[in-house]
Parts: sequence; structure tokens; C-alpha cells
Amino acid sequence: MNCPHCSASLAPDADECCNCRFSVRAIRSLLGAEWVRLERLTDNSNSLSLKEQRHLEVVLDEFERTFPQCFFAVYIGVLPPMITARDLGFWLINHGAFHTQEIAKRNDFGCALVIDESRQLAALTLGYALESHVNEAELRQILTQVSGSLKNRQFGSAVEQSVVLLGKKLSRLGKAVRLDAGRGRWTAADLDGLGLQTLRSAHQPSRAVGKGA
Amino acid sequence: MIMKASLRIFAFHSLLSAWACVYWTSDAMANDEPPLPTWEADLPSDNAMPPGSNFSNLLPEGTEPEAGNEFFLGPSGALKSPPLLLDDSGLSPHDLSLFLHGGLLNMLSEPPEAKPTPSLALREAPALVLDSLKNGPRNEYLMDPQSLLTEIPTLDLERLLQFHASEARILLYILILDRDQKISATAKLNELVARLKADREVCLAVYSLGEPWRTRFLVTEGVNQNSSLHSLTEMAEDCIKDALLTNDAERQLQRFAVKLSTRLFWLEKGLPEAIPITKGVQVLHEVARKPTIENIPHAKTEWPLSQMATVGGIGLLLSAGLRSCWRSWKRSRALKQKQFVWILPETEIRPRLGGAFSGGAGVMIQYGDKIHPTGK
Repeated sequence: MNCPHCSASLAPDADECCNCRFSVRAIRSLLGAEWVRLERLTDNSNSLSLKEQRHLEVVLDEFERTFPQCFFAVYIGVLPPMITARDLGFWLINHGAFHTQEIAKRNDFGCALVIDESRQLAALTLGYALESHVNEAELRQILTQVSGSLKNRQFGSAVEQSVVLLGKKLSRLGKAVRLDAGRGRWTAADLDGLGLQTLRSAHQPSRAVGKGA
Repeated sequence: MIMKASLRIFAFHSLLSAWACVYWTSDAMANDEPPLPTWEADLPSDNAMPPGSNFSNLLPEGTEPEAGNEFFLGPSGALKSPPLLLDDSGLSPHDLSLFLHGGLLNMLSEPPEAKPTPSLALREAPALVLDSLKNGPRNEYLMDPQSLLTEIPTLDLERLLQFHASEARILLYILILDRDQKISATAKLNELVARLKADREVCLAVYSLGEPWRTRFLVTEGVNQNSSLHSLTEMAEDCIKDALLTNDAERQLQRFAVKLSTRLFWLEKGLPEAIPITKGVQVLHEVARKPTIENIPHAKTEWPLSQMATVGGIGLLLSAGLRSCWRSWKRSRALKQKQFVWILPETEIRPRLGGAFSGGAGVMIQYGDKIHPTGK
């Protein structure tokens, strides 16, 4: 484990970086200590087209459906010189209230991809729950694979590839659970509970139609 | 009496005055007769094309007779013919051919191009073909035992080959086979040539009617020894190419015979004055037994295309099938995966750097050329 700010090695329970004294307090002094409400996809530099944004929303939805505990957040922008992409990723996971499908998702299952356009840096930051499943080498491999798209400023493609690659790694570690067959489907009984009644119910046969009928 | 006389005198005077009136009137009319009509319009110039000239020219289209050529009857230019009802219509032979089906106006009817007989469909020539040649006269240069040629081309070819035999040192024999016939055994042809050859060299062309590219060229040893294989092969290819300029089987043969005869005249110039005559059974040397694909112009364009089309079709079907299978597999896999979710096990991690949800685990890379000190 290493420091997000200076990449120096960290002890497992270090309160601050022994090299640069980086901690959550240090970053709070720069970015604030309040929770911030964020969309999963924040394009602060307007690098994504509307079509790409719509497509990435679908990709992120699919990721969250496949991994109900997890979410993937993306920030694309130009960062000030005093913070790095990893600093921001660290702060986002710790202070971001992301607008996911389920608000109740815990941030320690979150993954933040931060792209600093001005310095051409990309960082992937994981919450505590994910860091035990995906190590740094695998994260670096993911970023290396998308670096070509990043270099060509194809940020939409880079984000999608990152999500897919991370999903592949997580799916090898996760336990597959079959969804309930009736989950998510509305029936006439559900509508009754809302005070609504389907018109078709009056036309349903009152008795079973046998062979002799 | 007096009354009668006076009446006669009166009648005489009346007749006299009437005659005088007629005389003077006719004289006056004769003096007022209008002149004969004369042409006041300009005469047509000699350069103008006379009516009907489009259809009266017996020369091939596009050729003009020479001015001083006495061979043509009458004055040079188009022959005069009765004017048609097409004066000043501006029609051309091409226009006329629109309702007169081809062949009448400088256009020879060309049969459609024949497809080459597949090699598997070729059959051995009947035994009677060679048997009938055993006792044939040696001065019969065109051998058509199955009577595949019609009369006029047969006579033309016979005259040509007779002339060739009278002038050339290499006799030319042409054996006609049907389109789908072949003679595999060279030994039988050896016997035939052994009988044909007396004191002169022989070239035998086993010609498949309608498929010149399958022609077998066989020459006697004297020709073979004194000519390079390249020149013989080139001669064979030239003859085949010339024959293939037309699609009609008999015209092909005619062109082939003329070209081969010419080439044999060229070939004999390279022969020594005196060729030693070998005794015994003559061994034929074949020039080009198997036709190469270059010898078959339309096969070169059609057969590979059809083959390519077949292969391409199969390839397309296979690729479409594979693509369909791949899509259905992906769809079923996606559908199957949508029925599952992946739950990750939770592990206990001690917080670092004061972070409640993340201790900064992660990596950063620099994807561009800009160098950043902490970009690793």
C-alpha cells in the first residue's frame, strides 16, 4: 500500500504518510470536509459527447446491476496543481454521495476513476471492500490497457473499457447468485395494492375451460 | 329565187367572217405562248450524298473505294440504286439493323461463347475414328471420319491443306474430333503418322471442334530436333489464340488451319536443308499436350470466376452461420448472466490515513507525454 499523494509506502494502519504527511485531514483542508453529492459520471471538462454520456450511464447501470454492492464513479476534469488524481479519488470515495441506483450503497465498495486532462494522468482508487479483491498490479494493468484510448482523447471508450475490465476481475472473485424470477416484475396483485385494478380482470374466464366445454 | 340567192350570199359571208375570226384569234394566241419552264434553284452539289446511298454501298462499312481504282464499276463512290422511300431520312445501317436482325448489314451473326467441357466430361474418341484412318489415302490432309464439318468448310480446308502440302516441307494433317472427345493414347497416333510420313516431316493437329485450346500438336522427330520447345509452344499458343478470336466452331477451325499453315512455313525456314530420314516407326513429339489456363481466354475469365463465386458463396454462408451462432451464443450468455448477480465477500480492513471508506488504494498512470513527478 502506498500514499495517494507521494506514492511512498504506507503501513497497514498508518494515520498519515510518513513521507509527505498526507491524510484525510490534509485533503479536507483543500477540498472540504463536507459530503458532496455527485453523479457517477462527472465530466467537468466537457470531454464527453452527449451520446457517450448516455452510453456510459447504461454501462455504469449494468455494472451496478451485475455487482449490486459496487459502483463505479468517473471524474474527468482539470485538477489544480496542488492535488493529484489519486488525491481526488481518495477524497471522492470518502466524501462523495454518489447518485447510484441504490443510495444505500456503501462507499467502501466504490471505485473512482479520475482523469486529469491537463497533466494527462489517470488514477483508479478503490474502497476498502474492493482493495482486498483487486490488487495494484491488476489496477495498473487495467489502466495500461485503456491508456491508448486516453492518449487519443477517447475518454468514453476508456471509461467503458475500464468498467468492463474491472467487472471481469470482480466476476471471478464474486459469488454468482441467481435473481428471483419474480423480482422486479409487477403483477395485477401489485397494482391492487396501489389502489389500481386492471380492466382485463373482468374478462378473465370464471371457470376453467375443459374439453367438453 | 332572188331570196334564195341572197340567203346563200349571206351564209357565205358569215362563213367567211367566222373563218377570219378563227384565223386571227389563233395567230394571236400563237404569239402569246409562255416560255418553257427552267430550273431556277441551284443544282445539288456533287458532295451531297445521293438518296439511298446509305444502303447502296457494297463495300464494308467505313471503307471508301480509291478514286483511280478501275476495279469498281462506274464512277468512284457509292453505287447508284433505285431511290428508297428513305430520302432525307438520315437513317444509317445501324438504324436499319434495329428491325432487320443482325447479319444482313455488315454484321456477322456470332454464336454465343461456348462453355469449356469439364475434364471429367471428356470421353475417349470412338475406336472407329482411328480405325477408319488406317487405310485412308496419305494425301487426305483433313481427317474428319465422323463428318463433323459441313460441306463448304470441309472443301475450303481441303483446298488449303492441299496447297500447303504442295508448297511446304512440313505436311500438315488435321484430325477433327468432337467437342467432348479426346485421344489419350499417343501410340495410336504414332501408327497413324508412321503411315502418313514418307519423305517429309509431318505436323499432326488433333483438333477438338469448338474447343481449340484442347488441340494436341504433334510433330515428327526431325521437326522436334531442329526447333526449340519454346518456339513450338509459342506456335501452338498463337494458333489457339487466333482461333479463339471467334466463337463459331467452323470459323475457329478455319482460322486455326490458316495460322498453323503460316506458322509451319515460318518453322521450316529454321530447318536444315536435308533432314535425315529415320527409319521404322516414327515417334511423335507432342508440343503442348495439356492446355494451360492461359490458352483458354474465356475459361480464364469464367471458370475462376465461377469457382471464386462458389467459394465466396460458401465462405459467406459459413461466415453468416458462424456469426449467427456467435450472436446467439452471446445473447444466450448475456441472458444467462443477467439472471445472476455477483456478490463479493466482505473483508475487514483497518482504516488508513483517516479515511472512512478508502485508504487511498489505487494506482495512477500518465498516459500522455507530459511528465509529472508523482505520476506513477
